Order: sequence, then structure tokens, then C-alpha cells
Amino acid sequence: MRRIEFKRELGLFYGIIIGLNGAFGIEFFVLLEHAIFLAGPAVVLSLLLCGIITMLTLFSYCELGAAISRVGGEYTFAKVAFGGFTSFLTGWLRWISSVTTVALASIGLAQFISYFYPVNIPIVSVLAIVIFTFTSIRGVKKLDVLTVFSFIGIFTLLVTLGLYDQSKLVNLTSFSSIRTFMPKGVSGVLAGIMYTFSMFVGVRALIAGSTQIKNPEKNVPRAILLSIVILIVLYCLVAFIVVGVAPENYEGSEPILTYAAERIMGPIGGTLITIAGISAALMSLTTAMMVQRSIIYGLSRDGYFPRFIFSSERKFGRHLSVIIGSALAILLAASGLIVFIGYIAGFASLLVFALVNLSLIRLRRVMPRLSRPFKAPLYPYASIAGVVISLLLILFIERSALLIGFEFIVAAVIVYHLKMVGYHRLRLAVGGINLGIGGLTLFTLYLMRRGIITIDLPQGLRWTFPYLPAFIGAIFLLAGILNIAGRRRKEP
Amino acid sequence: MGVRGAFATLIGALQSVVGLLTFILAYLIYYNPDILRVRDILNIQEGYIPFFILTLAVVSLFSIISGLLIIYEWTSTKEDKDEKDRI
Repeated sequence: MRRIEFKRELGLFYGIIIGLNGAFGIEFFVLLEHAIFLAGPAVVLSLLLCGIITMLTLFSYCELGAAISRVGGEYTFAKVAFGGFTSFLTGWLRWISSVTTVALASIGLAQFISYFYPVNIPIVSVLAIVIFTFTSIRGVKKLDVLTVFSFIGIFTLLVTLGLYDQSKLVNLTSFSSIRTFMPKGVSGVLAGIMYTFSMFVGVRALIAGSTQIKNPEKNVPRAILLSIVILIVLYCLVAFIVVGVAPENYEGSEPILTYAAERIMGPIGGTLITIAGISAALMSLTTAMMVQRSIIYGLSRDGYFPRFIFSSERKFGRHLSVIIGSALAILLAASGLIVFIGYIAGFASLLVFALVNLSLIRLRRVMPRLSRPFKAPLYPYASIAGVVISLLLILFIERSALLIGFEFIVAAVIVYHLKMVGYHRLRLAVGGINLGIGGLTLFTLYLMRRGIITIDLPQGLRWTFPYLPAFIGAIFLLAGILNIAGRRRKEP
Repeated sequence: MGVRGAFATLIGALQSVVGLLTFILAYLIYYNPDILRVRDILNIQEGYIPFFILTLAVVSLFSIISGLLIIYEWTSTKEDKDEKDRI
């Protein structure tokens, strides 16, 4: 296989830019409000702790990225360390995480657009995904890294003006005692850490970009450290200002960041944050679309999805890989349940983090002589802590989101099992089920026609009887026959 | 394209479309938008909604997968034949 070599010409500064560019997504803009609801003013503490935990795991990423310099990120790390189901689950969860990012970004985009012109949020978010699905197929250039400076500039301006004129920070008293600072106690802080996880994980873009960085063994860890420190400082200060400005239990129609910026800087502030939010949403949409597509390519390359359908070398496969992810993102975005989607994103990211730490531990044990240009500090304590903390934080996810998260894992088990049973037997099983559904539909229809069973159809649907069930039954029967009648071929 | 292949592709496509429409129906039952009160049209009681959604979602995903398998089967069969002709 031909390997692509990149010129290492970027220094520490550009490394930090890559890290920040990856992290400045829509997550901070759309998830901050619920994080404040969960943790109260202690969201500042949640962000600080979340940044530190993320940094420790990113050092694991860094060691693995330097030792296994192949494309694929987390999926490749798990594949080398474990292979089998663990690697597939890692890729699958990373894909879910990217799809939820697409949904979050589209809802965020719609929310920020509605600041200028009131729009229907679910409809506009679905439209945004549809448009980006097609532009993504044709290829979109990433927005310039100048965006990083714009973000830092806008956030710094908000913080500076907020601290300069403290008369607008009406809630500063909430930071004065432990009771008001942590109204929901330690569990609130932990829930806040869980929920803010996706705000920092974007720094992992630095690992993917490390192929272009000079002296990666020195510059990449430093860039990770500095990127996270910059993010912690910026996010904590902005959260401090937002908590100080916004009333308790804020329930405004606009995002809480926009509200805070308007209060501090007037309409210009609202406009600036809105433009920054729209840029963040566009960046997140573009990046997440590309990531989810590349994960599907990777999984289909290894045979987990039909190679023919998702092959990157076929036009149909290229389109379908984007469309599948977009369809799931549309379903999520159309619900408009931003909090719920945020929880699923956190669930997937936390599990991926746990799996990456486990991969590091496993590789250190089974491949002790593997060339490691960089070694994660505080091994094994940091890695074990990364696994334990990630799994513990999952307990703070809302129950319904946790349920959906586990359903995604069940789906992963099914897909993996289907791959294992082989194509021919899979086709036979699908054919059998088709015959069963078709036969049952037609038999029920027969019983209904004979009056043996009665189903009281609504007035508006009576015209469909018996044509629609007969049509569907016939389709399933024929599909069953065609699935079973296909010729047997050698398994790859 | 031969008659058998065209027929198989048609059935596969129809089954995928049925699956897609079923998924949309499941989603409409879940979301129940103001412009199309699906739960009222279908007389679905509140307690049965999760059952309907789960059943429709499973059937729809199965239909889509089955339909795509049939299309794949036909297309790859055609490719094998082309390969044989070339040899």
C-alpha cells in the first residue's frame, strides 16, 4: 500500500492553532446553557476539571498517534491493540460522535440564524444538513485558521469588558459561598464535566495533523498542553461572565452566550457572538461530515460494511457514505432536542476516550518494544484514571440518552455479528425473515377478508385496504425468494 | 440488463423505499407534528407509541438492508459476468 509522506514544516505555534481550530466548534456555544443548569456557577470548576481529564487522555492519543502513524485515529489504535469487536466498537462510537456533532452544529446554526431572522429551528437545521450533504460530496475547503484568532478575540473582548464593568455581573454573589457556588453539590459538578466533554475533544485534531509538525515528539505534547490551557482559561472566564450576567434558570429564546454578549457589549456583542457561532457551526458541520465519511470508508475497507456499497473508489459509495450519516443526523436534528443530542455526543466521546486509554495500556503490555517517539506521562495511573473517570462520568448521563447510547452499542453488536456469520448465511436469514413477514402479512389480510379477525381501521385509511397490505406482503415475499435464490459464492 | 436482474433491482428498490417510508412513519408518530397529527389519524393510544415506533423502526431497517442486499446481489452478479466475458 502506498504511504503518503507529509513535509514536517510546522512548528509549535501552528500546532496550537491546529488544536484550537479543532476545538473551537459549535459545542461550547450550544452546550454551555445546559451545563450551567447542571452545575450552576460551579460550571467553571466543571470546565477546569474536564480540561485536565481531556488533557491526560490526549497524552494517550499522542503516544498512540506517534507510535502508530497510520490514518484512522482511534479506530486504528484499537485495531492494533485489540482488533475484533473492540476496534469495530471504537470506530462505530467515533462515527456516532461525528454524526451527533453534525446534528448539534445544524441546530446551533439554526439558533444563531434565528437571532437575525426568526426561523423554524428543526426545519432550518434539517435543511442545513441536506445542503452540507451535497456540498460535502462535492468537497468543501476548510475555513481558514484565522477563525481561531477571531474566536479568541471575541471571547477576550467579552471577558475584558465584563470584568471592566462589573455592574452588569448581577450574579457575582453566587460565587461567594459553597452553597450558592455548587447548588447541586458534587454530583452537579460531575454532571457538568460529563456534559462539557465534547467542548474539549476537538483538540485531538492535533494528533491527525501531527504528521506535518516538526519535532513531533516535543512539539505535539507541548501543543496539546498549551491548547488545553488556552481553552480552559478562555472557557472558564467566558462561563464566569455568562453565569455572572444571566439570571438563574435562564430560559431565553436565544443562546445564553448571545444573551450575555448583548448585556455586556450591547447589540454589537450579540451580533459578534452570533457570527462567531455561525462560523463555529459551519466549521463543525464541514469537519464532522468529513470525519464521519472517512470512518465509514475505514469500517467498510475492513469489511464491517459492504465494501461495494461504501467503497471510496465508487461514486455511488462516496455519496452513500455521506447520505447514511446525514440521514441519522437529520433524524436527531429534526427533534430539536439539543440537550439530548449533547448527552449522546458525550456518551460516545467518553466511551471512545476509555477505549483509547485501554488501547494504550494493552499496547504497552503486548508490544513493549514498539517504537514510541513520545511516551504518555504518569503511565499507568493517568491511563487507568482516564478509563475509570470516563466510565464513571457516563453514570451522569440522562437516563433516556443512556438508553439510546446502549441501543447504539447493541446495534454495533448486531452489525459485527452479521459480518462474522458471512454473506451467504446472512442472505439466507434475511430471505427467511422476508418470507415470514410477507407470509404473515398476506395471511392476516386473508383472515381479515374472511372476517375471522377484525381491525377497525381509521376512516382516512380505509381506501388502502386491501391494496397496500397486499402490495407490501407481495414485495416481502418476492424479496425473500430473491434473497434465497441468489447464488452461493466463496466467502472472502 | 437482463429481465431477472431488472426485476430483482426493482424489487430491491421497492423494498428499500417501503423501508424508508416506514421509517418516516415511525418518526412522524414520534414527533407528531402539528401539520400532520399522525397519532390522531391512526388512532394510536399514548401507551402504545413506544411499541409502534420500535416495531416500525425494526421493520424499516430490515427492509432497507434486505432491499440493498438484493440490489448488491444483482449488481455483483452482473460484474462477475462482465469479468468472465472479458476473460
